[in-house]
Amino acid sequence: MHIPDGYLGPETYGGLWAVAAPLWYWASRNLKKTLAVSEVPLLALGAALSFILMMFNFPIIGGTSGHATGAVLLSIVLGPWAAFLALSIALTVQALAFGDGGITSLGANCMNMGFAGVFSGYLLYRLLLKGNASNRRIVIAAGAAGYFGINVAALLTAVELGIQPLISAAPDGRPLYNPFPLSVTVPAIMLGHLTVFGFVEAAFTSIAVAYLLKAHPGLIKR
Amino acid sequence: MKNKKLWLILLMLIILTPFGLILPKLFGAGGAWGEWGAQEIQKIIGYAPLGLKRLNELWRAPFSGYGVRGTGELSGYLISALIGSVLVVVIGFLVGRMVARRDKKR
Repeated sequence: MHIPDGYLGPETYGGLWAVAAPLWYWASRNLKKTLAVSEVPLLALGAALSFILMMFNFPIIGGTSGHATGAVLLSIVLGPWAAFLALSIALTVQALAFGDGGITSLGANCMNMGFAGVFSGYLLYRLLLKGNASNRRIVIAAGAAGYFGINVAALLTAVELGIQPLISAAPDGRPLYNPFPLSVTVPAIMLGHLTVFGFVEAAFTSIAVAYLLKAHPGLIKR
Repeated sequence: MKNKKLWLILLMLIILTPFGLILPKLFGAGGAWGEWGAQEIQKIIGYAPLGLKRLNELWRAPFSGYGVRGTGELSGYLISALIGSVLVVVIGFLVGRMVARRDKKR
Protein backbone atom coordinates (compact mmCIF):
# COMPACT_ATOMS: atom_id res chain seq x y z
CA MET A 1 0.00 0.00 0.00
CA HIS A 2 3.08 2.26 0.06
CA ILE A 3 2.68 4.28 -3.13
CA PRO A 4 6.14 4.86 -4.67
CA ASP A 5 7.26 8.06 -6.40
CA GLY A 6 5.97 8.35 -9.95
CA TYR A 7 2.65 6.56 -9.55
CA LEU A 8 0.72 9.72 -8.66
CA GLY A 9 0.73 12.90 -10.73
CA PRO A 10 1.32 16.30 -9.12
CA GLU A 11 -2.41 17.13 -8.85
CA THR A 12 -2.93 14.04 -6.72
CA TYR A 13 0.21 13.98 -4.60
CA GLY A 14 0.17 17.76 -4.20
CA GLY A 15 -3.49 17.71 -3.24
CA LEU A 16 -2.92 15.02 -0.64
CA TRP A 17 0.10 16.87 0.84
CA ALA A 18 -2.17 19.91 1.06
CA VAL A 19 -4.73 17.89 3.01
CA ALA A 20 -2.19 16.11 5.23
CA ALA A 21 -0.28 19.22 6.35
CA PRO A 22 -3.17 20.98 8.12
CA LEU A 23 -4.21 17.66 9.65
CA TRP A 24 -0.72 17.22 11.17
CA TYR A 25 -1.01 20.74 12.56
CA TRP A 26 -4.49 19.97 13.90
CA ALA A 27 -3.18 16.74 15.44
CA SER A 28 -0.40 18.61 17.24
CA ARG A 29 -2.87 21.23 18.51
CA ASN A 30 -5.15 18.49 19.75
CA LEU A 31 -2.33 16.56 21.45
CA LYS A 32 -1.14 19.69 23.21
CA LYS A 33 -4.33 19.33 25.25
CA THR A 34 -4.70 15.57 25.44
CA LEU A 35 -1.27 13.87 25.33
CA ALA A 36 0.61 13.83 28.64
CA VAL A 37 4.42 13.95 28.63
CA SER A 38 4.32 10.60 30.39
CA GLU A 39 2.58 9.12 27.34
CA VAL A 40 5.34 10.15 24.93
CA PRO A 41 7.31 6.86 25.28
CA LEU A 42 4.13 4.99 24.37
CA LEU A 43 3.77 7.11 21.23
CA ALA A 44 7.37 6.31 20.24
CA LEU A 45 6.84 2.63 21.01
CA GLY A 46 3.60 2.57 19.02
CA ALA A 47 5.25 4.19 16.00
CA ALA A 48 8.07 1.63 16.12
CA LEU A 49 5.58 -1.22 16.48
CA SER A 50 3.77 -0.03 13.37
CA PHE A 51 7.09 0.27 11.49
CA ILE A 52 8.06 -3.30 12.41
CA LEU A 53 4.60 -4.71 11.75
CA MET A 54 4.78 -3.45 8.17
CA MET A 55 7.96 -5.52 7.67
CA PHE A 56 6.01 -8.75 8.22
CA ASN A 57 4.87 -9.50 4.70
CA PHE A 58 2.15 -12.07 4.28
CA PRO A 59 1.72 -13.79 0.92
CA ILE A 60 -1.25 -14.54 -1.23
CA ILE A 61 -0.13 -17.83 -2.74
CA GLY A 62 1.44 -17.25 -6.14
CA GLY A 63 0.42 -13.60 -6.04
CA THR A 64 1.51 -10.53 -4.19
CA SER A 65 2.19 -9.84 -0.54
CA GLY A 66 1.02 -7.32 2.01
CA HIS A 67 1.11 -6.47 5.68
CA ALA A 68 -0.79 -5.15 8.68
CA THR A 69 -0.29 -1.55 9.86
CA GLY A 70 -1.28 -1.50 13.54
CA ALA A 71 -3.28 1.69 12.88
CA VAL A 72 -6.37 0.72 14.85
CA LEU A 73 -4.45 -0.80 17.79
CA LEU A 74 -2.54 2.47 18.10
CA SER A 75 -5.74 4.50 17.96
CA ILE A 76 -7.29 2.41 20.76
CA VAL A 77 -4.25 2.88 23.00
CA LEU A 78 -3.10 6.40 22.08
CA GLY A 79 -6.23 7.97 20.62
CA PRO A 80 -6.68 8.61 16.89
CA TRP A 81 -4.68 11.85 16.60
CA ALA A 82 -1.59 10.40 18.27
CA ALA A 83 -2.00 7.24 16.18
CA PHE A 84 -2.13 9.36 13.00
CA LEU A 85 1.12 11.08 14.01
CA ALA A 86 2.78 7.78 14.98
CA LEU A 87 1.87 6.20 11.64
CA SER A 88 3.12 9.31 9.83
CA ILE A 89 6.49 9.03 11.60
CA ALA A 90 6.82 5.34 10.68
CA LEU A 91 5.87 6.06 7.05
CA THR A 92 8.34 8.96 6.84
CA VAL A 93 11.25 6.80 8.03
CA GLN A 94 10.18 4.03 5.65
CA ALA A 95 10.23 6.45 2.71
CA LEU A 96 13.45 8.30 3.55
CA ALA A 97 15.66 5.50 4.87
CA PHE A 98 14.28 2.43 3.11
CA GLY A 99 12.65 3.69 -0.09
CA ASP A 100 9.35 2.06 0.95
CA GLY A 101 6.83 4.56 -0.38
CA GLY A 102 7.87 7.70 -2.22
CA ILE A 103 8.71 11.24 -1.14
CA THR A 104 6.21 12.95 -3.41
CA SER A 105 3.62 10.37 -2.35
CA LEU A 106 4.38 10.55 1.38
CA GLY A 107 1.39 12.84 1.95
CA ALA A 108 -0.83 10.33 0.16
CA ASN A 109 0.53 7.38 2.14
CA CYS A 110 0.08 9.25 5.42
CA MET A 111 -3.50 10.11 4.45
CA ASN A 112 -4.34 6.53 3.41
CA MET A 113 -2.66 4.31 6.00
CA GLY A 114 -2.34 7.04 8.63
CA PHE A 115 -5.40 9.26 8.63
CA ALA A 116 -8.06 7.18 6.85
CA GLY A 117 -6.88 3.84 8.24
CA VAL A 118 -6.81 5.19 11.78
CA PHE A 119 -10.00 7.25 11.87
CA SER A 120 -12.28 4.89 9.94
CA GLY A 121 -11.24 1.97 12.16
CA TYR A 122 -11.41 4.01 15.35
CA LEU A 123 -14.92 5.30 14.54
CA LEU A 124 -16.15 1.75 13.95
CA TYR A 125 -14.52 0.64 17.22
CA ARG A 126 -16.35 3.37 19.13
CA LEU A 127 -19.64 2.55 17.40
CA LEU A 128 -19.36 -1.16 18.19
CA LEU A 129 -18.62 -0.48 21.84
CA LYS A 130 -21.59 1.77 22.44
CA GLY A 131 -23.20 0.92 25.74
CA ASN A 132 -21.45 -2.39 26.31
CA ALA A 133 -17.73 -2.60 26.95
CA SER A 134 -17.16 -6.11 28.24
CA ASN A 135 -13.64 -7.39 27.55
CA ARG A 136 -14.91 -9.90 25.04
CA ARG A 137 -16.77 -7.21 23.14
CA ILE A 138 -13.72 -4.93 23.15
CA VAL A 139 -11.54 -7.67 21.65
CA ILE A 140 -14.06 -8.43 18.89
CA ALA A 141 -14.73 -4.76 18.14
CA ALA A 142 -10.98 -4.11 17.91
CA GLY A 143 -10.54 -6.91 15.38
CA ALA A 144 -13.49 -5.79 13.27
CA ALA A 145 -12.22 -2.20 13.37
CA GLY A 146 -8.74 -3.35 12.31
CA TYR A 147 -10.21 -5.21 9.34
CA PHE A 148 -12.32 -2.21 8.34
CA GLY A 149 -9.58 0.39 8.77
CA ILE A 150 -6.98 -1.34 6.61
CA ASN A 151 -9.56 -1.96 3.89
CA VAL A 152 -10.61 1.70 3.83
CA ALA A 153 -6.93 2.61 3.50
CA ALA A 154 -6.50 0.05 0.71
CA LEU A 155 -9.56 1.30 -1.19
CA LEU A 156 -8.35 4.92 -1.05
CA THR A 157 -4.93 3.82 -2.30
CA ALA A 158 -6.53 1.90 -5.17
CA VAL A 159 -8.71 4.88 -6.14
CA GLU A 160 -5.85 7.39 -6.04
CA LEU A 161 -3.80 5.08 -8.29
CA GLY A 162 -6.71 4.19 -10.56
CA ILE A 163 -7.71 7.76 -11.40
CA GLN A 164 -4.24 8.58 -12.77
CA PRO A 165 -4.93 7.37 -16.34
CA LEU A 166 -8.12 9.51 -16.27
CA ILE A 167 -6.48 12.78 -15.27
CA SER A 168 -3.16 12.83 -17.09
CA ALA A 169 -1.70 11.54 -20.32
CA ALA A 170 1.57 11.89 -22.22
CA PRO A 171 1.50 13.64 -25.63
CA ASP A 172 1.12 10.23 -27.29
CA GLY A 173 -2.03 9.58 -25.26
CA ARG A 174 -0.49 6.95 -23.02
CA PRO A 175 -0.73 7.26 -19.22
CA LEU A 176 1.85 9.53 -17.65
CA TYR A 177 1.88 8.06 -14.14
CA ASN A 178 0.29 4.86 -12.80
CA PRO A 179 -0.90 3.19 -16.03
CA PHE A 180 -3.52 0.87 -14.53
CA PRO A 181 -7.17 2.00 -14.57
CA LEU A 182 -9.60 1.74 -11.64
CA SER A 183 -10.94 -1.52 -13.06
CA VAL A 184 -7.49 -3.01 -12.42
CA THR A 185 -6.24 -1.23 -9.28
CA VAL A 186 -9.38 -1.73 -7.18
CA PRO A 187 -9.68 -5.52 -7.63
CA ALA A 188 -5.90 -6.04 -7.50
CA ILE A 189 -5.45 -4.20 -4.22
CA MET A 190 -8.78 -5.05 -2.57
CA LEU A 191 -8.61 -8.78 -3.27
CA GLY A 192 -5.54 -9.22 -1.07
CA HIS A 193 -6.79 -6.93 1.67
CA LEU A 194 -10.34 -8.29 1.84
CA THR A 195 -9.19 -11.93 1.89
CA VAL A 196 -5.81 -12.02 3.66
CA PHE A 197 -4.21 -8.80 4.94
CA GLY A 198 -7.44 -7.52 6.51
CA PHE A 199 -7.66 -10.69 8.58
CA VAL A 200 -3.98 -10.42 9.51
CA GLU A 201 -4.70 -6.91 10.78
CA ALA A 202 -7.85 -8.11 12.59
CA ALA A 203 -6.04 -11.01 14.27
CA PHE A 204 -3.12 -8.82 15.29
CA THR A 205 -5.39 -6.09 16.68
CA SER A 206 -7.57 -8.53 18.63
CA ILE A 207 -4.62 -10.47 20.07
CA ALA A 208 -2.78 -7.29 21.06
CA VAL A 209 -5.90 -5.80 22.68
CA ALA A 210 -6.67 -9.06 24.52
CA TYR A 211 -3.10 -9.12 25.84
CA LEU A 212 -3.22 -5.46 26.91
CA LEU A 213 -6.58 -5.95 28.65
CA LYS A 214 -4.92 -8.64 30.73
CA ALA A 215 -1.46 -7.19 31.29
CA HIS A 216 -2.02 -3.41 31.04
CA PRO A 217 -5.78 -2.78 31.30
CA GLY A 218 -5.17 0.93 31.86
CA LEU A 219 -3.90 1.28 28.29
CA ILE A 220 -7.17 0.33 26.59
CA LYS A 221 -9.57 3.21 26.05
CA ARG A 222 -13.11 1.98 26.58
CA MET B 1 11.53 2.01 32.16
CA LYS B 2 7.74 2.03 32.21
CA ASN B 3 6.01 -0.70 30.23
CA LYS B 4 9.27 -2.61 30.00
CA LYS B 5 7.47 -5.74 28.85
CA LEU B 6 6.01 -3.92 25.85
CA TRP B 7 9.48 -2.78 24.76
CA LEU B 8 10.68 -6.38 25.06
CA ILE B 9 7.82 -7.48 22.81
CA LEU B 10 8.96 -4.90 20.25
CA LEU B 11 12.51 -6.27 20.48
CA MET B 12 11.21 -9.79 19.97
CA LEU B 13 9.26 -8.71 16.89
CA ILE B 14 12.38 -6.98 15.52
CA ILE B 15 14.31 -10.22 15.84
CA LEU B 16 11.52 -12.08 14.03
CA THR B 17 11.31 -9.67 11.04
CA PRO B 18 13.33 -11.93 8.67
CA PHE B 19 10.27 -14.18 8.63
CA GLY B 20 8.47 -11.31 6.92
CA LEU B 21 10.92 -11.80 4.06
CA ILE B 22 10.97 -15.61 4.09
CA LEU B 23 7.22 -16.23 4.24
CA PRO B 24 6.23 -14.67 0.86
CA LYS B 25 9.14 -16.48 -0.85
CA LEU B 26 8.04 -19.78 0.64
CA PHE B 27 4.66 -19.35 -1.03
CA GLY B 28 6.02 -18.00 -4.29
CA ALA B 29 4.45 -14.58 -3.73
CA GLY B 30 6.05 -11.42 -5.13
CA GLY B 31 6.20 -7.99 -3.55
CA ALA B 32 3.24 -5.73 -2.90
CA TRP B 33 0.99 -4.90 -5.84
CA GLY B 34 1.76 -1.57 -7.53
CA GLU B 35 5.11 -0.97 -5.85
CA TRP B 36 7.26 -1.85 -8.87
CA GLY B 37 10.16 0.22 -10.17
CA ALA B 38 10.08 1.75 -13.67
CA GLN B 39 11.97 -1.21 -15.19
CA GLU B 40 9.55 -3.72 -13.74
CA ILE B 41 6.61 -1.71 -15.06
CA GLN B 42 8.24 -1.78 -18.48
CA LYS B 43 8.36 -5.57 -18.30
CA ILE B 44 4.70 -5.79 -17.28
CA ILE B 45 3.07 -3.41 -19.79
CA GLY B 46 5.80 -2.99 -22.41
CA TYR B 47 6.70 0.62 -21.62
CA ALA B 48 7.45 2.85 -18.65
CA PRO B 49 5.11 5.87 -18.39
CA LEU B 50 7.18 9.06 -18.83
CA GLY B 51 6.13 10.78 -15.61
CA LEU B 52 6.52 7.62 -13.60
CA LYS B 53 10.03 7.10 -14.95
CA ARG B 54 10.97 10.72 -14.20
CA LEU B 55 9.76 10.69 -10.58
CA ASN B 56 10.52 7.10 -9.68
CA GLU B 57 14.24 7.60 -9.12
CA LEU B 58 13.78 10.94 -7.36
CA TRP B 59 15.15 9.66 -4.08
CA ARG B 60 17.77 7.01 -3.46
CA ALA B 61 17.20 5.65 0.02
CA PRO B 62 20.37 4.60 1.88
CA PHE B 63 18.89 1.21 2.81
CA SER B 64 16.68 0.75 -0.22
CA GLY B 65 14.36 -2.26 0.00
CA TYR B 66 15.39 -2.84 3.64
CA GLY B 67 18.84 -4.00 2.49
CA VAL B 68 22.21 -3.02 3.90
CA ARG B 69 25.18 -2.99 1.54
CA GLY B 70 27.75 -5.67 2.39
CA THR B 71 25.30 -7.88 4.26
CA GLY B 72 23.13 -10.80 3.20
CA GLU B 73 19.46 -10.41 2.40
CA LEU B 74 18.18 -11.71 5.73
CA SER B 75 20.81 -10.03 7.92
CA GLY B 76 20.29 -6.79 5.99
CA TYR B 77 16.56 -7.02 6.65
CA LEU B 78 17.21 -7.59 10.36
CA ILE B 79 19.70 -4.71 10.57
CA SER B 80 17.18 -2.51 8.72
CA ALA B 81 14.54 -3.43 11.28
CA LEU B 82 16.92 -2.36 14.05
CA ILE B 83 18.02 0.89 12.35
CA GLY B 84 14.43 1.75 11.43
CA SER B 85 13.12 1.11 14.93
CA VAL B 86 15.82 3.29 16.50
CA LEU B 87 15.07 6.10 14.01
CA VAL B 88 11.32 5.86 14.57
CA VAL B 89 11.68 5.75 18.36
CA VAL B 90 14.03 8.76 18.41
CA ILE B 91 11.77 10.80 16.10
CA GLY B 92 8.75 9.58 18.06
CA PHE B 93 10.26 10.93 21.27
CA LEU B 94 11.25 14.24 19.65
CA VAL B 95 7.86 14.82 18.04
CA GLY B 96 6.07 13.56 21.15
CA ARG B 97 7.97 15.95 23.41
CA MET B 98 7.20 18.79 21.02
CA VAL B 99 3.47 18.22 20.91
CA ALA B 100 2.71 16.81 24.37
CA ARG B 101 0.89 18.82 26.98
CA ARG B 102 3.20 20.55 29.43
CA ASP B 103 2.22 19.35 32.87
CA LYS B 104 2.83 21.91 35.58
CA LYS B 105 5.63 20.73 37.87
CA ARG B 106 4.41 20.00 41.35
